[in-house]
Amino acid sequence: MKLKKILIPTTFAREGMKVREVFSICVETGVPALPYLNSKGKRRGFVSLSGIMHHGCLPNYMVELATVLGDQLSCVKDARTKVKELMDHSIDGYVDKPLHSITSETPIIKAMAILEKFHSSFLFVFDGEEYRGVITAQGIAQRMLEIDAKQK
Amino acid sequence: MTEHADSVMNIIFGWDPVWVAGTLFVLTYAVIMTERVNRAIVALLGGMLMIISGVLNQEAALRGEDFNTLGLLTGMMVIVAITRRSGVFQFVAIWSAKKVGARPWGIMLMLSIVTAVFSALLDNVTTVLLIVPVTLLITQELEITPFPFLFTEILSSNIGGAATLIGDPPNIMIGSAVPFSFNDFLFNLAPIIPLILLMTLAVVWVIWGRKMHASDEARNNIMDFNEKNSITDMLLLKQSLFVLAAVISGFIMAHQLHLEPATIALFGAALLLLLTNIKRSSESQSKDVHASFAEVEWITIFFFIGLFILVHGVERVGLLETLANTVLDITGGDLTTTALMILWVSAIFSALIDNIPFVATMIPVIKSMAPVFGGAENLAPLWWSLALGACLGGNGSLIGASANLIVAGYAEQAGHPIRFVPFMLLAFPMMLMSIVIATIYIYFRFLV
Repeated sequence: MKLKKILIPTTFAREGMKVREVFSICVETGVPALPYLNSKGKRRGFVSLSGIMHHGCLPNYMVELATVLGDQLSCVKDARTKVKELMDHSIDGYVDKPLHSITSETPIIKAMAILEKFHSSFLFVFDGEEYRGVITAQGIAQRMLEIDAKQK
Repeated sequence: MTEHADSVMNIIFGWDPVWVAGTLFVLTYAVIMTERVNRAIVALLGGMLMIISGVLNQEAALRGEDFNTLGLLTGMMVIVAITRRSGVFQFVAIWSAKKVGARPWGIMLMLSIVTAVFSALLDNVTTVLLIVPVTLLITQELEITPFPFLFTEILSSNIGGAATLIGDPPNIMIGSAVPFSFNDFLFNLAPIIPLILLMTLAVVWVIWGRKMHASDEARNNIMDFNEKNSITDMLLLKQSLFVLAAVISGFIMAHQLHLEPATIALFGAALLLLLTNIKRSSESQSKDVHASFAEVEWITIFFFIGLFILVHGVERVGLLETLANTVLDITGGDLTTTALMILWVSAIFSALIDNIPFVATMIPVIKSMAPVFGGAENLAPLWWSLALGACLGGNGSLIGASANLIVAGYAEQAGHPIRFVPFMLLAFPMMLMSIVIATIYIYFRFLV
């Protein structure tokens, strides 16, 4: 099994883009993250939906005490305004360190091992400097289901 | 290795050992104070250079190490690391906030008292790491600024830590060097701590407490918190509390048991590791033990290891005796003047620099004063002065104690930075107030 069949092509997230734009691309293509390019076109890491949500909405102390929170919270009062503010933010403050990337020739089993090693649900695929797209755990599961269906 | 062999020094290039040891000591302390390089690296380098330069050989350096301090610190760190996983400390913090009906001033009082009590029994850094997230969450929900709460918790942690042998590293070092028992600290230092805390809280009430207000809706949100959900593992909770209670009982009965605190703490750590791992597979045990040991603050432990060698080096060449004689010249050899001078100098120094190296240096200095005051048994006022000065002095500035920096770091990450100057403008006078109270206490309790 090769990765080509489950690759999801996407564009890059670029320096200065708004959170809104990255969310739109991710939702439209069904990927959880995009590789990030700085103003010089150099790869400098990635932005992910969970990373933006964590750093943009959730202070560490809330995460730490998540289980004791009640269902009524003062901080959700002006949630709509906060969402708008987050969407207008630049993504530059939410860039995570570069992930290990793979090539389009990488066998799926190796990709799965790398996903497991880095506790990730996605990997970026690059052939040299050329960006091919994202593979996700869901994509791998879908491919397995297809293989299973053909054998029946 | 005999004492005679130990006393032979082969200093490199035939240099004067006093100058070599003195220079290494001053340079190491200066670099530690700049905080440009991690303090454990600096202390270890300084300690090893003491050996490489020939001031000490390895055997002599080993004699400088204080197993009681290192063992007690490590043992307690392991016990606390395991206990905190049960969520019991967060449970107590949230429960106490709800007990006062989520009223802001009541919460501040309760969290301060909880911080002080926890700090007396655990190390201060762990205490604030457990209390600060709860504080930030509560103040967020009450829609009030967290600064007064965090400020008071910093002060409470250093005040509470002064109460017991295990509350603060300076006390551990003093308790080991003299040696004083857990009960000695409890009978001689703890009685003044509630008064200092009370006076501190009175000032906080005047500055902030009387003006604090939260809406009923916000208070209801706090009352809606479910503190029981913070308990992650009931069995672990029972095992941890059993061992923690046994260890503290052991400290209290150490004299009757003929055991040192380090032995009790390390036995407690081993027992808790056994209880929490007994039914696991070999692989799972390795992972769990590794995780527990990983939470030991090795920076602090290695800092102590390097520091003990450094101090032993300057002690061996006679520098600390010279320093002691200088202090005695200034105070005219009067016990009262010497005790109060140690109290105030310790407080001021501890507000501005790390109190651990200061106390490490002062211990042999005070020990060498014994002949002047008629024997080691008459030095108690000096030891209590050093303990109170070093622990309470940490409240004088944001860099006065590790716990202060931890709170500031966490608050900044959460978007509530604590600035150095505003903090010091409030904290330094309050620290001085606590030292005035300590002065009166030391004078009437030990010197009249």
